[in-house]
Amino acid sequence: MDDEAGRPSGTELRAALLGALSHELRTPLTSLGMLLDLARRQAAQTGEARLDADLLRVFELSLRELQRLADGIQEISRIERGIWQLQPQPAALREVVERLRAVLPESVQLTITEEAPAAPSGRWDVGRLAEALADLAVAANRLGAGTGAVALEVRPGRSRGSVEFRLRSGEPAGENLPFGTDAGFRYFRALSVIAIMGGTVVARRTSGYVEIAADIPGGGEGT
Amino acid sequence: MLRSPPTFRGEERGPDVPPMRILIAEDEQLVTRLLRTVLRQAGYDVKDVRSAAEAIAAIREEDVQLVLLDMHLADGTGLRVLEALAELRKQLPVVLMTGEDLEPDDPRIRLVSAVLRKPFDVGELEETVRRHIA
Repeated sequence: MDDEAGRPSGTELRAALLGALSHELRTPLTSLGMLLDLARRQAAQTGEARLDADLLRVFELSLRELQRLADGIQEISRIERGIWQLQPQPAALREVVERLRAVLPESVQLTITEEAPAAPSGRWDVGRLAEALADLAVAANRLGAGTGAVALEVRPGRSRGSVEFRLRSGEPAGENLPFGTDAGFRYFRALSVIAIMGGTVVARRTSGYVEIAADIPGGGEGT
Repeated sequence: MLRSPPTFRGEERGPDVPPMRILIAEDEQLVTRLLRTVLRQAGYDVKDVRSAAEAIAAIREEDVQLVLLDMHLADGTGLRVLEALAELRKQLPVVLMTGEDLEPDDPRIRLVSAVLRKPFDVGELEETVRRHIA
Protein backbone atom coordinates (compact mmCIF):
# COMPACT_ATOMS: atom_id res chain seq x y z
CA MET A 1 0.00 0.00 0.00
CA ASP A 2 1.18 3.47 -0.85
CA ASP A 3 0.40 4.79 2.64
CA GLU A 4 0.84 8.43 1.83
CA ALA A 5 -1.61 8.41 -1.03
CA GLY A 6 -3.86 5.67 0.36
CA ARG A 7 -3.68 3.80 -2.94
CA PRO A 8 -3.30 -0.01 -3.08
CA SER A 9 -0.67 -1.60 -5.33
CA GLY A 10 -1.82 -3.70 -8.29
CA THR A 11 -1.14 -6.95 -6.43
CA GLU A 12 -2.96 -5.76 -3.32
CA LEU A 13 -5.86 -4.62 -5.45
CA ARG A 14 -6.14 -8.00 -7.16
CA ALA A 15 -5.93 -9.91 -3.86
CA ALA A 16 -8.55 -7.67 -2.25
CA LEU A 17 -10.82 -7.93 -5.28
CA LEU A 18 -10.67 -11.74 -5.28
CA GLY A 19 -11.21 -11.83 -1.51
CA ALA A 20 -14.22 -9.54 -1.77
CA LEU A 21 -15.61 -11.57 -4.66
CA SER A 22 -15.29 -14.86 -2.78
CA HIS A 23 -16.96 -13.29 0.24
CA GLU A 24 -19.85 -11.83 -1.73
CA LEU A 25 -20.51 -15.01 -3.69
CA ARG A 26 -21.03 -16.85 -0.41
CA THR A 27 -23.98 -14.73 0.70
CA PRO A 28 -26.39 -15.57 -2.17
CA LEU A 29 -25.06 -19.14 -2.15
CA THR A 30 -26.03 -19.38 1.53
CA SER A 31 -29.54 -18.12 0.74
CA LEU A 32 -30.04 -20.50 -2.20
CA GLY A 33 -28.69 -23.48 -0.25
CA MET A 34 -30.99 -22.79 2.69
CA LEU A 35 -33.98 -22.40 0.39
CA LEU A 36 -33.18 -25.76 -1.14
CA ASP A 37 -32.94 -27.34 2.33
CA LEU A 38 -36.30 -25.87 3.36
CA ALA A 39 -37.94 -27.11 0.15
CA ARG A 40 -36.41 -30.59 0.58
CA ARG A 41 -37.74 -30.80 4.14
CA GLN A 42 -41.19 -29.80 3.05
CA ALA A 43 -41.10 -32.33 0.21
CA ALA A 44 -40.02 -35.05 2.65
CA GLN A 45 -42.95 -34.23 4.95
CA THR A 46 -45.73 -33.56 2.46
CA GLY A 47 -44.53 -35.03 -0.83
CA GLU A 48 -44.27 -31.62 -2.46
CA ALA A 49 -42.42 -28.37 -1.87
CA ARG A 50 -43.84 -24.89 -2.11
CA LEU A 51 -42.07 -21.63 -1.42
CA ASP A 52 -44.26 -18.77 -0.28
CA ALA A 53 -44.02 -15.39 -2.02
CA ASP A 54 -41.55 -14.07 0.54
CA LEU A 55 -39.10 -16.92 0.04
CA LEU A 56 -39.55 -16.84 -3.74
CA ARG A 57 -38.47 -13.21 -3.57
CA VAL A 58 -35.33 -14.30 -1.67
CA PHE A 59 -34.68 -16.82 -4.45
CA GLU A 60 -35.10 -14.18 -7.16
CA LEU A 61 -32.92 -11.58 -5.44
CA SER A 62 -30.17 -14.12 -4.72
CA LEU A 63 -30.05 -15.11 -8.38
CA ARG A 64 -29.98 -11.45 -9.36
CA GLU A 65 -27.05 -10.88 -7.00
CA LEU A 66 -25.13 -13.77 -8.57
CA GLN A 67 -25.86 -12.31 -12.01
CA ARG A 68 -24.53 -8.91 -10.88
CA LEU A 69 -21.33 -10.49 -9.63
CA ALA A 70 -20.92 -12.51 -12.86
CA ASP A 71 -21.35 -9.30 -14.91
CA GLY A 72 -18.77 -7.55 -12.74
CA ILE A 73 -16.24 -10.35 -13.21
CA GLN A 74 -16.77 -10.26 -16.96
CA GLU A 75 -16.24 -6.51 -16.98
CA ILE A 76 -12.96 -6.79 -15.09
CA SER A 77 -11.85 -9.58 -17.42
CA ARG A 78 -12.56 -7.29 -20.38
CA ILE A 79 -10.63 -4.46 -18.77
CA GLU A 80 -7.62 -6.72 -18.17
CA ARG A 81 -7.70 -8.06 -21.72
CA GLY A 82 -7.80 -4.52 -23.05
CA ILE A 83 -11.05 -5.00 -24.93
CA TRP A 84 -13.17 -2.77 -22.76
CA GLN A 85 -14.12 0.31 -24.73
CA LEU A 86 -14.83 3.63 -23.18
CA GLN A 87 -17.06 5.95 -25.15
CA PRO A 88 -16.16 9.45 -24.01
CA GLN A 89 -18.45 12.21 -25.23
CA PRO A 90 -18.53 15.90 -24.40
CA ALA A 91 -20.71 16.17 -21.33
CA ALA A 92 -21.56 18.65 -18.62
CA LEU A 93 -20.57 17.78 -15.10
CA ARG A 94 -24.21 18.09 -14.15
CA GLU A 95 -25.03 15.15 -16.47
CA VAL A 96 -22.54 12.95 -14.62
CA VAL A 97 -24.10 13.86 -11.28
CA GLU A 98 -27.64 13.33 -12.58
CA ARG A 99 -26.71 9.91 -13.97
CA LEU A 100 -24.98 9.06 -10.71
CA ARG A 101 -28.17 9.80 -8.80
CA ALA A 102 -30.15 7.68 -11.27
CA VAL A 103 -27.97 4.58 -10.86
CA LEU A 104 -27.56 4.73 -7.09
CA PRO A 105 -29.42 2.01 -5.21
CA GLU A 106 -32.38 3.19 -3.13
CA SER A 107 -30.45 2.49 0.06
CA VAL A 108 -28.03 5.37 -0.58
CA GLN A 109 -28.98 9.06 -0.76
CA LEU A 110 -26.53 11.58 -2.07
CA THR A 111 -26.17 15.08 -0.67
CA ILE A 112 -24.13 17.42 -2.81
CA THR A 113 -22.21 19.73 -0.52
CA GLU A 114 -20.08 21.45 -3.13
CA GLU A 115 -20.09 21.57 -6.90
CA ALA A 116 -17.07 22.71 -8.92
CA PRO A 117 -17.79 25.87 -10.86
CA ALA A 118 -14.38 25.72 -12.51
CA ALA A 119 -14.87 22.40 -14.24
CA PRO A 120 -18.35 22.41 -15.73
CA SER A 121 -17.70 19.97 -18.56
CA GLY A 122 -15.33 17.42 -20.03
CA ARG A 123 -15.20 14.33 -22.22
CA TRP A 124 -16.43 11.37 -20.24
CA ASP A 125 -18.13 8.03 -20.71
CA VAL A 126 -20.93 9.33 -18.55
CA GLY A 127 -22.66 5.98 -17.99
CA ARG A 128 -19.56 4.11 -16.86
CA LEU A 129 -18.23 6.98 -14.81
CA ALA A 130 -21.58 7.32 -13.03
CA GLU A 131 -21.69 3.56 -12.32
CA ALA A 132 -18.16 3.61 -10.90
CA LEU A 133 -18.98 6.60 -8.69
CA ALA A 134 -22.18 4.87 -7.54
CA ASP A 135 -20.08 1.84 -6.55
CA LEU A 136 -17.80 4.13 -4.54
CA ALA A 137 -20.83 5.75 -2.87
CA VAL A 138 -22.19 2.32 -1.89
CA ALA A 139 -18.78 1.42 -0.42
CA ALA A 140 -18.63 4.77 1.41
CA ASN A 141 -22.00 4.07 3.01
CA ARG A 142 -21.10 0.49 3.82
CA LEU A 143 -17.81 1.34 5.51
CA GLY A 144 -18.84 4.70 6.92
CA ALA A 145 -21.82 5.56 9.09
CA GLY A 146 -24.15 3.10 7.31
CA THR A 147 -27.03 5.58 7.52
CA GLY A 148 -27.60 5.73 3.76
CA ALA A 149 -26.55 9.40 3.63
CA VAL A 150 -23.41 10.06 1.59
CA ALA A 151 -22.04 13.55 0.98
CA LEU A 152 -20.54 14.40 -2.41
CA GLU A 153 -18.20 17.26 -3.18
CA VAL A 154 -17.31 17.91 -6.81
CA ARG A 155 -14.34 20.18 -7.26
CA PRO A 156 -11.39 20.82 -9.56
CA GLY A 157 -8.91 17.95 -9.46
CA ARG A 158 -5.16 17.98 -8.99
CA SER A 159 -4.25 18.07 -12.67
CA ARG A 160 -5.46 20.52 -15.27
CA GLY A 161 -8.98 19.78 -16.43
CA SER A 162 -9.51 16.93 -14.00
CA VAL A 163 -12.42 16.76 -11.60
CA GLU A 164 -12.41 15.35 -8.09
CA PHE A 165 -15.47 13.55 -6.77
CA ARG A 166 -15.12 13.31 -3.00
CA LEU A 167 -17.56 11.02 -1.19
CA ARG A 168 -17.91 11.03 2.60
CA SER A 169 -19.91 9.12 5.17
CA GLY A 170 -19.78 9.60 8.94
CA GLU A 171 -17.43 11.63 11.09
CA PRO A 172 -13.69 10.88 11.36
CA ALA A 173 -12.70 9.30 14.67
CA GLY A 174 -9.62 7.44 15.81
CA GLU A 175 -6.93 5.71 13.83
CA ASN A 176 -6.95 4.90 10.13
CA LEU A 177 -8.29 1.43 9.33
CA PRO A 178 -7.51 -0.76 6.31
CA PHE A 179 -10.20 -1.29 3.68
CA GLY A 180 -9.55 -5.01 3.17
CA THR A 181 -12.36 -6.99 1.60
CA ASP A 182 -14.93 -5.04 3.66
CA ALA A 183 -15.24 -2.49 0.87
CA GLY A 184 -16.94 -5.04 -1.34
CA PHE A 185 -16.46 -6.26 -4.88
CA ARG A 186 -18.15 -3.20 -6.40
CA TYR A 187 -15.55 -0.93 -4.81
CA PHE A 188 -12.66 -2.82 -6.34
CA ARG A 189 -14.41 -2.98 -9.71
CA ALA A 190 -14.83 0.82 -9.56
CA LEU A 191 -11.09 1.22 -8.91
CA SER A 192 -10.36 -0.81 -12.06
CA VAL A 193 -12.80 1.23 -14.14
CA ILE A 194 -11.46 4.56 -12.88
CA ALA A 195 -7.86 3.41 -13.49
CA ILE A 196 -8.69 2.64 -17.12
CA MET A 197 -10.13 6.16 -17.39
CA GLY A 198 -6.73 7.46 -16.29
CA GLY A 199 -8.10 8.48 -12.92
CA THR A 200 -6.95 7.77 -9.37
CA VAL A 201 -8.75 7.00 -6.14
CA VAL A 202 -7.49 7.95 -2.69
CA ALA A 203 -9.40 6.64 0.31
CA ARG A 204 -9.32 6.92 4.08
CA ARG A 205 -11.28 4.99 6.67
CA THR A 206 -11.56 5.33 10.43
CA SER A 207 -14.16 3.81 12.74
CA GLY A 208 -17.56 4.77 11.29
CA TYR A 209 -16.05 7.14 8.73
CA VAL A 210 -14.96 6.89 5.12
CA GLU A 211 -13.70 9.41 2.63
CA ILE A 212 -13.14 8.37 -1.00
CA ALA A 213 -11.75 10.88 -3.51
CA ALA A 214 -11.76 9.96 -7.20
CA ASP A 215 -9.73 12.27 -9.43
CA ILE A 216 -10.97 11.87 -13.02
CA PRO A 217 -9.29 13.45 -16.07
CA GLY A 218 -11.63 15.65 -18.06
CA GLY A 219 -10.20 14.70 -21.45
CA GLY A 220 -11.69 11.22 -21.91
CA GLU A 221 -8.48 9.23 -21.52
CA GLY A 222 -8.45 5.48 -21.71
CA THR A 223 -9.62 3.07 -24.35
CA MET B 1 -36.19 -15.82 33.74
CA LEU B 2 -36.05 -19.59 34.26
CA ARG B 3 -35.44 -21.51 31.11
CA SER B 4 -35.37 -25.21 30.44
CA PRO B 5 -32.16 -26.83 29.21
CA PRO B 6 -31.63 -26.65 25.47
CA THR B 7 -33.11 -29.42 23.36
CA PHE B 8 -32.57 -30.17 19.70
CA ARG B 9 -35.55 -28.12 18.58
CA GLY B 10 -37.02 -25.18 20.40
CA GLU B 11 -40.62 -26.45 20.20
CA GLU B 12 -39.74 -29.53 22.27
CA ARG B 13 -39.23 -27.44 25.39
CA GLY B 14 -42.78 -27.69 26.67
CA PRO B 15 -45.79 -25.37 26.56
CA ASP B 16 -45.08 -23.38 29.75
CA VAL B 17 -41.51 -22.41 29.02
CA PRO B 18 -40.93 -19.33 26.89
CA PRO B 19 -38.86 -20.04 23.79
CA MET B 20 -35.21 -19.15 23.87
CA ARG B 21 -34.41 -15.89 22.18
CA ILE B 22 -31.83 -15.49 19.44
CA LEU B 23 -30.50 -12.16 18.21
CA ILE B 24 -29.59 -12.06 14.50
CA ALA B 25 -27.17 -9.24 13.64
CA GLU B 26 -26.91 -9.28 9.85
CA ASP B 27 -27.13 -6.49 7.28
CA GLU B 28 -28.14 -8.72 4.36
CA GLN B 29 -31.92 -8.75 4.50
CA LEU B 30 -32.26 -11.91 2.41
CA VAL B 31 -30.09 -13.95 4.74
CA THR B 32 -31.92 -12.51 7.75
CA ARG B 33 -35.29 -13.50 6.29
CA LEU B 34 -34.12 -17.09 5.85
CA LEU B 35 -32.46 -17.33 9.26
CA ARG B 36 -35.67 -16.03 10.83
CA THR B 37 -37.76 -18.61 8.98
CA VAL B 38 -35.51 -21.53 9.92
CA LEU B 39 -35.08 -20.53 13.56
CA ARG B 40 -38.79 -19.83 14.10
CA GLN B 41 -39.63 -23.19 12.56
CA ALA B 42 -37.21 -24.70 15.07
CA GLY B 43 -39.16 -23.03 17.89
CA TYR B 44 -36.89 -20.14 18.79
CA ASP B 45 -37.94 -16.56 19.36
CA VAL B 46 -35.98 -14.30 17.01
CA LYS B 47 -35.04 -10.64 16.97
CA ASP B 48 -33.08 -9.21 14.09
CA VAL B 49 -30.99 -6.06 13.73
CA ARG B 50 -28.88 -4.62 10.92
CA SER B 51 -26.29 -2.52 12.72
CA ALA B 52 -23.68 -2.88 15.45
CA ALA B 53 -25.35 -0.10 17.47
CA GLU B 54 -28.72 -1.90 17.38
CA ALA B 55 -27.06 -5.19 18.28
CA ILE B 56 -25.28 -3.68 21.28
CA ALA B 57 -28.52 -2.04 22.46
CA ALA B 58 -30.43 -5.33 22.13
CA ILE B 59 -27.75 -7.25 24.06
CA ARG B 60 -27.82 -4.60 26.78
CA GLU B 61 -31.60 -4.31 27.09
CA GLU B 62 -33.09 -7.63 26.09
CA ASP B 63 -33.03 -11.20 27.30
CA VAL B 64 -31.27 -13.00 24.47
CA GLN B 65 -29.59 -16.38 24.86
CA LEU B 66 -27.47 -16.45 21.70
CA VAL B 67 -26.23 -14.03 19.05
CA LEU B 68 -25.85 -14.93 15.39
CA LEU B 69 -23.40 -12.29 14.23
CA ASP B 70 -22.30 -11.33 10.74
CA MET B 71 -18.93 -9.61 10.43
CA HIS B 72 -20.33 -6.97 8.06
CA LEU B 73 -22.98 -4.79 9.63
CA ALA B 74 -24.66 -1.65 8.32
CA ASP B 75 -22.67 0.73 10.52
CA GLY B 76 -19.36 -1.05 10.81
CA THR B 77 -17.94 -4.42 11.63
CA GLY B 78 -19.17 -7.16 13.93
CA LEU B 79 -15.92 -6.72 15.80
CA ARG B 80 -17.50 -3.70 17.52
CA VAL B 81 -20.23 -5.97 18.85
CA LEU B 82 -17.70 -8.56 20.05
CA GLU B 83 -15.73 -5.89 21.90
CA ALA B 84 -18.90 -4.57 23.55
CA LEU B 85 -19.97 -8.09 24.46
CA ALA B 86 -16.71 -8.69 26.28
CA GLU B 87 -17.75 -5.88 28.64
CA LEU B 88 -21.52 -6.38 28.75
CA ARG B 89 -22.18 -10.12 28.75
CA LYS B 90 -19.01 -12.12 28.47
CA GLN B 91 -20.78 -15.49 28.80
CA LEU B 92 -23.34 -14.88 26.05
CA PRO B 93 -22.66 -17.38 23.24
CA VAL B 94 -21.92 -15.82 19.86
CA VAL B 95 -21.93 -17.67 16.55
CA LEU B 96 -20.01 -15.74 13.92
CA MET B 97 -21.32 -16.01 10.34
CA THR B 98 -18.76 -15.08 7.73
CA GLY B 99 -17.74 -15.59 4.14
CA GLU B 100 -14.23 -14.45 4.96
CA ASP B 101 -11.27 -16.77 4.79
CA LEU B 102 -10.34 -16.52 8.48
CA GLU B 103 -6.92 -17.75 9.55
CA PRO B 104 -6.99 -20.18 12.51
CA ASP B 105 -5.17 -17.62 14.68
CA ASP B 106 -7.55 -14.78 13.77
CA PRO B 107 -8.26 -12.96 17.06
CA ARG B 108 -11.99 -12.82 16.27
CA ILE B 109 -12.21 -16.61 16.55
CA ARG B 110 -11.15 -16.44 20.20
CA LEU B 111 -14.03 -14.06 20.93
CA VAL B 112 -16.82 -16.34 19.67
CA SER B 113 -18.30 -19.73 20.54
CA ALA B 114 -18.43 -21.01 16.96
CA VAL B 115 -17.91 -19.93 13.36
CA LEU B 116 -20.44 -20.71 10.62
CA ARG B 117 -18.65 -20.29 7.34
CA LYS B 118 -20.88 -19.21 4.46
CA PRO B 119 -22.35 -20.98 2.63
CA PHE B 120 -23.80 -23.11 5.43
CA ASP B 121 -26.93 -25.24 5.32
CA VAL B 122 -30.00 -25.44 7.54
CA GLY B 123 -28.71 -28.52 9.37
CA GLU B 124 -25.39 -26.86 10.24
CA LEU B 125 -27.22 -23.78 11.47
CA GLU B 126 -29.63 -25.72 13.68
CA GLU B 127 -26.93 -27.98 15.06
CA THR B 128 -24.58 -25.06 15.87
CA VAL B 129 -27.34 -23.09 17.58
CA ARG B 130 -28.48 -26.14 19.56
CA ARG B 131 -24.96 -26.86 20.72
CA HIS B 132 -24.19 -23.35 21.93
CA ILE B 133 -27.44 -21.81 23.12
CA ALA B 134 -27.56 -21.43 26.88
